[in-house]
Amino acid sequence: MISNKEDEMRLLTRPEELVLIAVWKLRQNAYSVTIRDFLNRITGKGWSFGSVYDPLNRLEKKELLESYDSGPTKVRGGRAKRMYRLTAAGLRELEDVKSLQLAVWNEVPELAPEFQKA
Amino acid sequence: MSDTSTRPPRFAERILGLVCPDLGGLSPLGDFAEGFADIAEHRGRASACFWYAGQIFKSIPGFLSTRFYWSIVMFRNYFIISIRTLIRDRAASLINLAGLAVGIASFLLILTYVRFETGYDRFHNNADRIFRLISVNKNREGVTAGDPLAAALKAEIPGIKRCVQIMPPWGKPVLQSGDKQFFQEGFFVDSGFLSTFSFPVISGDPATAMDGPAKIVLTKSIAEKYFGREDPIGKTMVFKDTAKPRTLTVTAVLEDVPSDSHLRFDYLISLDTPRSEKDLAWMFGSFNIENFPTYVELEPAASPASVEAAISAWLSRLQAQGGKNRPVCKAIRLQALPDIHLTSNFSNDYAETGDPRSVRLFMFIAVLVLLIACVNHVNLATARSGIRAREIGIRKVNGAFRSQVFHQFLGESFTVMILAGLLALGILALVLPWFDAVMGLPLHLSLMGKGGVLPWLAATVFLAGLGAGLYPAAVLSAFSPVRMFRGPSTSKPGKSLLRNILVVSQFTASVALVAATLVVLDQMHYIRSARLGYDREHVIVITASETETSEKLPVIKTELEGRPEVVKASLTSGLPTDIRQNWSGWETIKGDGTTVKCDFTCDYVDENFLDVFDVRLAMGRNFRAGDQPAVMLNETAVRDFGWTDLTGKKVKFGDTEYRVIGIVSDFHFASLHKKIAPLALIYEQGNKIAVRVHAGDLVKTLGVLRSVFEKNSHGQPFDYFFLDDAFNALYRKEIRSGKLFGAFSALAVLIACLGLFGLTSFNIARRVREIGIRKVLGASLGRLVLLLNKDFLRLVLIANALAWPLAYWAMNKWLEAFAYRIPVRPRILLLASCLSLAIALIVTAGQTVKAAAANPTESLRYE
Repeated sequence: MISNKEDEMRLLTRPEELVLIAVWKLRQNAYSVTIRDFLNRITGKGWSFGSVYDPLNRLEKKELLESYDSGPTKVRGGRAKRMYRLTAAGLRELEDVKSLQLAVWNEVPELAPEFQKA
Repeated sequence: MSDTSTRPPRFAERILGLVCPDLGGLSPLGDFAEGFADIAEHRGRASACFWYAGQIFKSIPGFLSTRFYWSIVMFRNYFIISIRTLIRDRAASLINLAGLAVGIASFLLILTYVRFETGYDRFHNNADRIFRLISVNKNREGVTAGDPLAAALKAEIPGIKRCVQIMPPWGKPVLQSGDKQFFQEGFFVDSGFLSTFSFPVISGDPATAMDGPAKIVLTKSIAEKYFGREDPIGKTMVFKDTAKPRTLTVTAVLEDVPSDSHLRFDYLISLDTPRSEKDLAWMFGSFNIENFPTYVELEPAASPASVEAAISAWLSRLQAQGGKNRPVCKAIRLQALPDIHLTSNFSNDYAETGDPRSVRLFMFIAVLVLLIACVNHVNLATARSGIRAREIGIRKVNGAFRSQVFHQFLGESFTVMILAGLLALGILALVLPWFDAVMGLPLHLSLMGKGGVLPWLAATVFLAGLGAGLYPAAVLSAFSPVRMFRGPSTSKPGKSLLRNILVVSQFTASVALVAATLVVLDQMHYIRSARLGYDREHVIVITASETETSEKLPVIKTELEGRPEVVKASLTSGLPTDIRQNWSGWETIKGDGTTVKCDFTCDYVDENFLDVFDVRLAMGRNFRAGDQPAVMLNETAVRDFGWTDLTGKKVKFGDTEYRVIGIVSDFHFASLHKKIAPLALIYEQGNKIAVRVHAGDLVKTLGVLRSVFEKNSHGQPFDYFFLDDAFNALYRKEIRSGKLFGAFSALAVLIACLGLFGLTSFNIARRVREIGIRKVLGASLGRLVLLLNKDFLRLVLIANALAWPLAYWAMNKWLEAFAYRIPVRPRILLLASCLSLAIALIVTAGQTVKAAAANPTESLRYE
């Protein structure tokens, strides 16, 4: 058995981080298609649906996200959307991510000059 | 953009839905639809479709791995383990496999036979609408009808599309073309025959081939026999039977008659041929000269029951009218074409009929043998469960569900069954020719198609695998891991109870089969040695089939009697083994003065009949020249007449009055299946010569007979047979059944013993330490052997007790078919029991003695 403590200690992966940010950014309109569009735009790379589902699933399992169904829509062939929003824990996690990033960058004052030269 | 152009194609959505698993309710299909719509709007529908197809392909690998990969991995593991188990325990696996293979093979063999027997005449296109007319008389049923019946039914009964008459020829006709002449078998048939039945035509027009007199249709092999490669159509042939020789023109050639046809023929001759002859006019036009088997083909809409009802209404109307020429039969019923082979039991049948009881019996035996083999599998699998216990424990500890273990063991059963099935196929291929030879059948091994064995093999393997696998799988998968690791399992009384029950039922079945075989053999012995009332040894029968030869028969007879090799010769139409001409409508006056009508089985005989066949006279005297018209009756015939002497006693048939000259003692002139019927021996010339010869050099005697016959016959082939061969032919079916019965009961015993062997060796292996300890503590060899055998002997004894009533009941049923039979003797049952006990002992004794004699240091060395 893997203990809960270890679970909490685990950091988010990069895609998870990005998806979490996307959900926060998209507010009321966060679901797989919009999240994928957002990621495509920001990273400039082609994300497949599969690569969005996976982090979404994991985040939901970690209870950082929660999902709810929208009503059926015409453009989706009458299917419902699965909408996402951050949970309280998700929001905290996002803040952690941000502060972690900042803290990491604070430790490294500036990019090494020799790198800049090169 | 219209709605449809932004929707992905429906079938593509369907495929994606299939391969793209529902990821925790993410409704991916909707997402993909949205993606599709987006691309369709910006870059057109075509590229959207392209993208969509790409998505489908990308989903497939994931789908495959989740769906199949893990099951394949597990399957491989199960398979390897089951093969390893098979190899590790070679003896037990071999016993199991051999038993199952033999069981499946014999089951398939019998199945092939049963399917052949029950599949007769189904190759006709209208098989379900063709019926044979059976005329029902007071105490017998016949397959022949009078000539006018066919036309009358066609005219009077609605629902009948066609009536077809046929007529078997008398005696053994010769067919000649040029210098080639052979005995051939065939029928006279009327013009509708080839349209009603679907015998495939090679050349000629089936619709007109049988129209008009002097036409003949040949089968392919006969056409080749007479005409080689020439085209037979239009050629002439001469047909010689007891009437005048006829010249016939070949009008068509048929394929050889399929072996599953109840009508067997080399040729067909148009019925118009005899119909147009003056000499034979007496046969036609009368309802009561019943020479013509008649078939009706019904309209598709007509039901047989309603046609039958219409016929009986018509019949009673006709009989109420009176008149001389009317049918005397009480009723006419319809016999469905496919039923003819198995459900006919008529004395005057021309078709080769089968025996439905032996078909059922063999089916039963086959199932039994298969069951016994399956029981072996169950027993060995559960008995060895201890060995597998640790494996199951490990699996369960590592997270296997009970259902997975269950499936594993079920799968193992299937592996064994499939191996056994393949072996069985090989055995079947080897055994089928032997089977054909014994049964006189044309069966051959074909895998697919008509008579194909593969689907049945698959079904058998599947059902047997399921039947024999379920219980062991359930037992093994129920083991709890904790119990398994606690130590070697001690024997569990509950489980061995079931095993005991199975062993008992195995042996009950085998003992019953052995007993049944012995009863069959006993009855066969009784038949052979029964006092039949005549002597069938040293009698040679020569048949005359042509008129010219028939006319010469008295000459041949006198000449033969002058030879020293010959004791006496008699001209007769029937033989005491098998007299079947049945004439109804005799009249006589009883002792009390009343007139009675009666039926006699009739035979034309001469004054030497009694001497040649050694038939005894009970009253009166033998025939003398000048007695005609005269008859001798048998005791059964006159039993009811109340006659005290024979002076002035007469019997009348039609317009002829016959003097009753003598009464012969009853003799069995049909097989022992039938009661002795009233018999009339009529003093007329028959068309066979029965010769009683001196025992001695048979070859020389036959040479003499041949030379005398050929000197006087007009080129007719010399055709003879021995009376005891004819006698044996009467019981061919029983002799076959006896042989098969013997073979299968031997198999059943063998398989049961294999199982017993396996169980014994397993038990001994388990108790090897116990035996060692007992020996160290002073047990004697005898006590140990007794100890080890006690259990099985008890089971075999119980099985015997159960088998006795079973065998007794079943064999009484079988014997009921014989009018003359033995009782089921306890001696026989006892013998069967002793046999089975002895075999069981032999099987177990070797191992138990060996185990008991082993040095205890061997078994206890590691304790």
